[in-house]
Amino acid sequence: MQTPFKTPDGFFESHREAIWEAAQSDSHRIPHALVEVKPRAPLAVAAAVATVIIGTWFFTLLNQSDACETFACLWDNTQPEELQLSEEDLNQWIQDDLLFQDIMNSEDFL
Amino acid sequence: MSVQPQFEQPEWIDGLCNDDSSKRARAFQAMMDVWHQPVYRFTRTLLGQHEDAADATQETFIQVLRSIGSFRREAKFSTWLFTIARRKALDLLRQRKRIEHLNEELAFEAQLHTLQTDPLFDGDRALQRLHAAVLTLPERQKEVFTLRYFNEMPFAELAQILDLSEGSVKASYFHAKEKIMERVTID
Repeated sequence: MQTPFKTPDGFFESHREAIWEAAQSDSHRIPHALVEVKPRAPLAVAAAVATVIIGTWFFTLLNQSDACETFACLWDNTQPEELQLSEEDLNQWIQDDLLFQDIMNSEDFL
Repeated sequence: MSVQPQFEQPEWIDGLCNDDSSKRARAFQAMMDVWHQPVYRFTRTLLGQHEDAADATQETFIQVLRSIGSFRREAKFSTWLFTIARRKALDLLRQRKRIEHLNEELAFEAQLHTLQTDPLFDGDRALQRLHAAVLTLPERQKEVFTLRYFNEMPFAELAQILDLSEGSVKASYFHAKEKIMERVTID
C-alpha cells in the first residue's frame, strides 16, 4: 500500500545499523533464553537431589531442640523478639503484670 | 487439551538464535529486509511523528533480538512481532501524552496541522485528513484500524495480537471506520 509517510534519506539503512549496534551493546552474547541447558545424565541429577534431601534432613536434625512439655519450659525458650509484639504492647503487659502483683500483695486482698 | 498448530516459520528465525555472530547478523538482515518497513509504517501511523516511530521501531527490534528465544512457534512470527510493536508504540504514547486532553475536534485539527507542516509527510488533502483522523481515534480503535486497513491483517490475527474476541475487534473496526468516514468527508 502506498504510504504518505516519508523518511530522511538513508534512514532505514542507518536505523538498521543503529538497532543492531544497540542490541549488541545491550548484550554481547546470545540472550539467556537462547542458551539451552544441556541435559545432565539422569544418575547425576538423582545423586544431586538425594544429596540435597539428606543434607537438609541432617541440618534440621542438628538444629532441633528438645520439645517442651511444660509451660515454664516454653516460656523460658521463647525469646521476646519471637512474640512479634510491639514495644507498646510489651510495656502495657509489664504494667498490667506489676498492677496484678500490687493487687495480689495488697493488704486488702490478703 | 487442544494442540496448537505449528506455523511454518521463516528460516532466519533459527539464525537469530545462532551462537555464531556472523550468522546472527545475516539472519538479522534477512528479518529486517522483510519487516523493518512494515513495522515502521505501523508505528508511524499510530504515533504520527517520524522520531517517535523510529524510536518505537528500534525498541521493537531490540526486544525481538532479546526475546527470540522465548518465541513459541505456535503463532505466526508476524503476530508476535506486531504484538511487541504495538506495546512499544503504546508505551511511547503514554509517555508523551500529547493531545489527549483536547476534545476530539480540536485534537483532529491539531493533528491535521501537524501533518500539513511535517516535511516527512507527503500526502494530499485526503490523506492528511485520513491520517489525522486515525491519529485522533481512541487507542483501541486506532490499533484495530491501523492493523486492518493499512496492514491488511485478518481479523482473527488481530484478535490474537490485541487479546480480544474477533467480534469485539470487528466492532472496534466498524466504529473507527464510521468516525474516519465522517472526518474525511466533512469539508
